Amino acid sequence: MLPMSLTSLLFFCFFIVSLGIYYLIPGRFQWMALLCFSVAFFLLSSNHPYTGIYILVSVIATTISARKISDGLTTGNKTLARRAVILGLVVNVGLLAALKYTNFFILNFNKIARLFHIVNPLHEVAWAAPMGISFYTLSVVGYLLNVYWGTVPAQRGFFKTALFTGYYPQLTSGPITRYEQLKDTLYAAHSFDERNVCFGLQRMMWGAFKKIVLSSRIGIVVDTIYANPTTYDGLYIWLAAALFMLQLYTDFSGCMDIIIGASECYGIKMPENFRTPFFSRSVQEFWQRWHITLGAWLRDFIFYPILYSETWRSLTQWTKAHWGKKASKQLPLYLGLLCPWLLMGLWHGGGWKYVFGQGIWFWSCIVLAQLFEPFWKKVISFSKINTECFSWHLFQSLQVYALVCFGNMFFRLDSLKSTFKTMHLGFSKWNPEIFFDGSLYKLGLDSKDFTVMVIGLLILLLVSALQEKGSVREMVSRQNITFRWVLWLGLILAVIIFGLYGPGYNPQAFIYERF
Amino acid sequence: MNKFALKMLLFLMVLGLVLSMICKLMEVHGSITGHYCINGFYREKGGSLDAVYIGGSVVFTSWIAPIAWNKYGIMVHPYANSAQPIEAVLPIIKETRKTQPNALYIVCINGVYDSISGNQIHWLIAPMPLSTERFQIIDALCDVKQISLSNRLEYYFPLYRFHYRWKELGYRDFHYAYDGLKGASTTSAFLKDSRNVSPKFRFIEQKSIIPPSIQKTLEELLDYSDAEGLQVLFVTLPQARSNKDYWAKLNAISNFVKMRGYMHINMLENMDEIGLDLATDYFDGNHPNIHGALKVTQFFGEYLSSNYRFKDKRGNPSYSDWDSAYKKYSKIIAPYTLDIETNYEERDYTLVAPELNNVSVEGTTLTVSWAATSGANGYRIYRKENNSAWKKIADIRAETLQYSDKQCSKGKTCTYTVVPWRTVNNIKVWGNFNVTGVKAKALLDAPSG
Repeated sequence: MLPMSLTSLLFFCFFIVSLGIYYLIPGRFQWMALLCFSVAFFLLSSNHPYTGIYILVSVIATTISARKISDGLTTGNKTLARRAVILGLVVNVGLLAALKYTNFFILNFNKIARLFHIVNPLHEVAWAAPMGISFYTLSVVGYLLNVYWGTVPAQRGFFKTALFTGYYPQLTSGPITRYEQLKDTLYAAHSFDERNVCFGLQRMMWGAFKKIVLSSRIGIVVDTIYANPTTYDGLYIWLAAALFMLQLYTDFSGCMDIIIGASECYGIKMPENFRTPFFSRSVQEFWQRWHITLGAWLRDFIFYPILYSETWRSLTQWTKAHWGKKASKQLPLYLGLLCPWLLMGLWHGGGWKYVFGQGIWFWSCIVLAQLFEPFWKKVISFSKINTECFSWHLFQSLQVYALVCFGNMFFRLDSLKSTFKTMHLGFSKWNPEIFFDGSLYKLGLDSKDFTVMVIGLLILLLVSALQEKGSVREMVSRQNITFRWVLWLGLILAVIIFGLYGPGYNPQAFIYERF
Repeated sequence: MNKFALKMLLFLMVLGLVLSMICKLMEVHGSITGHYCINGFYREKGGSLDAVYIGGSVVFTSWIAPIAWNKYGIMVHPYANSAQPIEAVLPIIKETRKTQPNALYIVCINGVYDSISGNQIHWLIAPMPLSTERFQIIDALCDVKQISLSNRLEYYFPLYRFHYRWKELGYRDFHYAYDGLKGASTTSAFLKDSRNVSPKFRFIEQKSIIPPSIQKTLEELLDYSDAEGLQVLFVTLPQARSNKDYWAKLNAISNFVKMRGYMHINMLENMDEIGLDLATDYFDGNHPNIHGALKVTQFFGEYLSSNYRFKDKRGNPSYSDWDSAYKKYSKIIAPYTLDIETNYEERDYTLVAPELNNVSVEGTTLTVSWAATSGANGYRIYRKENNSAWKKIADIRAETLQYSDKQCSKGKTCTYTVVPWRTVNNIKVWGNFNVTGVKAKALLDAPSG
């Protein structure tokens, strides 16, 4: 049996049954029910159910570690607290590193060994990681650090810690939650709230629309082009790059909508992971609106600790003494920024393409933007450009879009080498005729499917524009019942009719699923 | 909470209604005759049918309900799909009993061993309304095909598979109109084609062993029938298959049902009486063509009307749709059949089809000639121009073995066939004939000078 996907009918049935049970049982047992659902979900949707052992190890280590940190802090035994937090971090990060980055290490070690004429001293391993390890590990690491810093109380219960770690809606794809955000609602009793359930279901359906109507269609075009870049060269390459960003957005944010919507139905509010990122005016702003919880995690648990560390203070002083005040402000900051960006790259996967495409590239964009900011300000001032109008905003957003598309080509393509090769093919031909001669309809989508994709993207744009002004569901809920019903029925029917699923279609998993 | 539950229920009902309408629109009709056949069944008045005829495609290519109605006044509607293994029969009987509780259930056993494709399952269930029996049929057939639960979704919820058809929707999808023919086939090959299946036809009387799973299903069917006191008649239709093993398996089934006290008619044993001509009455080894169907219908209609006390409902205005079906179908088959095939006069299939010679052409005079048929008292000549209906053009005596026709339009192709007849007790009885006929073109005048 195939693992249960978040857009499968099986998941929908599972969710509806779980929701029914959740509201039928007494409130004090609800969190236990959620834990049971999470275990069932893991077993039903995991490719390797035995990897649940790793989650169990994480939970045990996290529970013990949190208790000991708490004990240490309460009794003033800082050594105990430090040892406990180190234990928790080593176990959790160690598991993540071992299961996801061993092959990256081995491949690079072998490359270095080859320089000394030693052929493959290490062999790649085939260790399966539990789904969602990259997400829940960051959550528990953040939790342990916060307990250590005294900003959140420790959760002493093993099962409650287990629920925080493996809460099933977020297990596969995040968002990376903070204990302090969840603790008040995750374990609390929730009475049935019509609004929560309706809003949650509406959001889930919108997520399904993004995933199986839009993302799956866009993915077909992207896959066709990137599967054969020598045939589809020139502007095809840039078209695929532009479309992949839309695919990634509709896929990942669609997945988030399903997850956050499902959680909303249980009365549990999860943090947002996206905030109309394509309306951003700079790469820095983009990352504050895209995969928000990861960016915030790296900021709070990597960047700030580094920046406020003794080493960095010394570095700042040293730079000031040797290179001046301006350099002392910029150099340690940019170096400090490099660490979370390198980790951002590595988090996406063990490969140099991630380190460059998701890390160094965006770090460079942000640093260069800051370095050249005074220059651009002068240019704008000199040219008397109105920066507070729609056209300038649009220009900036398109610029950001181009930059993130470029970075994400590394994410999508196989390796650094093949990405550069594909980019080279993109410059090898000038073929704008493909946009006019029907070539676009030969990329796996016929004219009707293409039309559905374009209309769907326009709807997405409209909804995103409305989201800038507030909650779209709130807006809809204020309308008359006929309008509301027609709208939601239309959305459900659009998903059922235009969705790419069922026999004859090989569904792709969410791109960020099981990271 | 109660208000919310009511609203949700109402919303789901609206959604369900819209979805069921879309589902009907999207579902493929597959074998269109099969679809009309099952769809037509549900349009019949409750309790009106004399019999329900269950089976595979051989049923709707062997049984022309409007013809039997017109000739014998019996209402026997087929419930047939392009394939119908034994596992589907009991749920179908249960399904048909809901509207036709007192009907005779005629079960064609030719298809009991057939495998059924996924598409054929869809074609079978597409015209069915939502019911537990529909799900029973799906489960029974999926069990046979060992389809896992997750892969059955497309049958439980056909939209799961057919939602992609929004791109293909055309006029016929939005304007589905039942043909009103009571399941009679109008497939082009069925009407037009004729293949000589005699070289391959093999039939044996030996019996093989019924596989345990089939026997179990059959026993369940018969136990149910016993318990409910149903009248079930089993039929083996006269296919022209070459596979001896196939016949041995069917013989085993017929033997089994007879041992359980059920009636069984093996029409292969009545090939001569039916008058089936392997050279002209089949469009393939599995299915008779229109000429074979008319003969089988006549034979089986005769059997049913003489062995069961069915009330003749002809003339009852409530069943005028059956008269309409007959009229409509007669028009449809007219270009492909002779008037004698559907009239009330007797047939004598011992009179073999005259062997036709090539037509000789002398300007616009076309002469058709043939070899004599032993026992014939005369011949009737038919002509058709291009694709028009066959037209009687002459009756001639037995001594004359040729006929010259001057009425064929210049430049047109005319086809001729010759039907032998003889007199029995002062009644003309008609023999076999070559349904393909022989053809020739009437020449245009040469330019003068």
